[in-house]
Amino acid sequence: MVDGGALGAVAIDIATRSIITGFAHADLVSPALLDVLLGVVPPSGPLTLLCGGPPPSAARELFVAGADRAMYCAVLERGELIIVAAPAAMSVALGWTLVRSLTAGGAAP
Amino acid sequence: MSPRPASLPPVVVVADGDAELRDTVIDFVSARGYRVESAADAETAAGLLLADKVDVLISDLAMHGAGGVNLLSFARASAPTTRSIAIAANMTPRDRDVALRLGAIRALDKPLSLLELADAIDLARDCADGFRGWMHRMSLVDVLQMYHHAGQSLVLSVSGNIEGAVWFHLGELIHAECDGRSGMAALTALLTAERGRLETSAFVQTTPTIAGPFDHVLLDGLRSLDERRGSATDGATTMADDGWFDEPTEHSALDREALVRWLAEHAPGAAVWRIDPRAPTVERIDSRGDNPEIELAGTPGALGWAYELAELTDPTWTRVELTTGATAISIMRVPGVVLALARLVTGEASLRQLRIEGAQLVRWLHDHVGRPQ
Repeated sequence: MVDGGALGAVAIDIATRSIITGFAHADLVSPALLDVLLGVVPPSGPLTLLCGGPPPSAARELFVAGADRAMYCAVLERGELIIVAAPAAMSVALGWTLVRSLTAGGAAP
Repeated sequence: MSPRPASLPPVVVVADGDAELRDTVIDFVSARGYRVESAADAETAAGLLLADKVDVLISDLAMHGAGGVNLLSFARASAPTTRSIAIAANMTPRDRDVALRLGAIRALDKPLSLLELADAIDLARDCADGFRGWMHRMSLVDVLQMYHHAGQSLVLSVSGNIEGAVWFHLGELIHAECDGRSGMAALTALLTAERGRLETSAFVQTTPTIAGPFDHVLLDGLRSLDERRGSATDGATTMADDGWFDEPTEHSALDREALVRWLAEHAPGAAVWRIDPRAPTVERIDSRGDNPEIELAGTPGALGWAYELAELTDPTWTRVELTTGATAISIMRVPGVVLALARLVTGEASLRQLRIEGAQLVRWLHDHVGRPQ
């Protein structure tokens, strides 16, 4: 895997939570985020409760733009979770291209 | 008139009383691979239009006899697949308007520029199918999306206070030029244009300066624009110390009615909520018209989930997009206001639409929401 400009990336086996491959992923994702993202722990924040409870389906794609970095997460049907962190200034197009490249099984451009 | 086999060259009729000009045009157009017929008057040209399938008619407006204006009118009625190009010396704006209203795809001044004539013929050939005409009240983003969805290859020129052009190839944005800039910088500059004139021309090869799927490119352009506007507003302060992450307060000056009007025009069919995470409260603010996504109103649980995921991922978040099941949600946080936009996902197109609407909404919020006091 080459970094393609990403700050870090990781592919996780959803069933075992084991890391399949990745780099610079130490602080990429917290167990709490994984629990909520994968639906293991139902979201239970005040907004979720106000809105009638958690939705039934698992997330497929999540993009979060922060001050310093942007996170791209994709839950794949083959049972893997791909997470890529990129600089906030990086093009969103390039960020999703990186994710698509990884989910397709190839190396990042 | 039977259809012409595809292997035969396209036919161009040159109708002009000036023999020297006819010969010049015949030589030039023939050299470009067309079969050219010529006529010294409108009556002869009309006969050619009836006798053969003519692809392009080049007509002088001031011919003797019936005249070029009548010939254009005849061509529109009797040879609807023929595309016309009007030419004239000393053409007035009224002449040009009449020619265009009679279906001419271009009105060119004499003396002719052969380069302009070549472009016009290419455009005429490119217009063989589909509609053409005038539209108004279209935003540049609307038009870009339209040509993307149609998978078109063409050049879209923008004129007005900002001038430039974008190149589409098979529906993808591959190049832009504006004010000496090219690529994404040019596209971002063009997106600042709020009014002006748009004109399409046939695709011409160019060196690509923009890469990536259309929706991402457009989103990036809008985002860059948004960031630029945000920087201009924020001055030297940082997002962390200027109240950027303040939650909504009663002092945040959101013009709700203006927002609802904007949403009805730019994001019809989308479900929109205003969120106050501290209270917490969630208020549906779209017009709740007769749209097929009304059921989203009963299932906004993903909205809270997206907010929680954003908080867990990065407390400094400004925007989150979550696609889950059949619902896609985009939540944006600007000073004093948190809004969520949702659509049912019926395919990539609806997801793309939501992302673009989200980027446009962020721009609108930056332009219209007052900072909390």
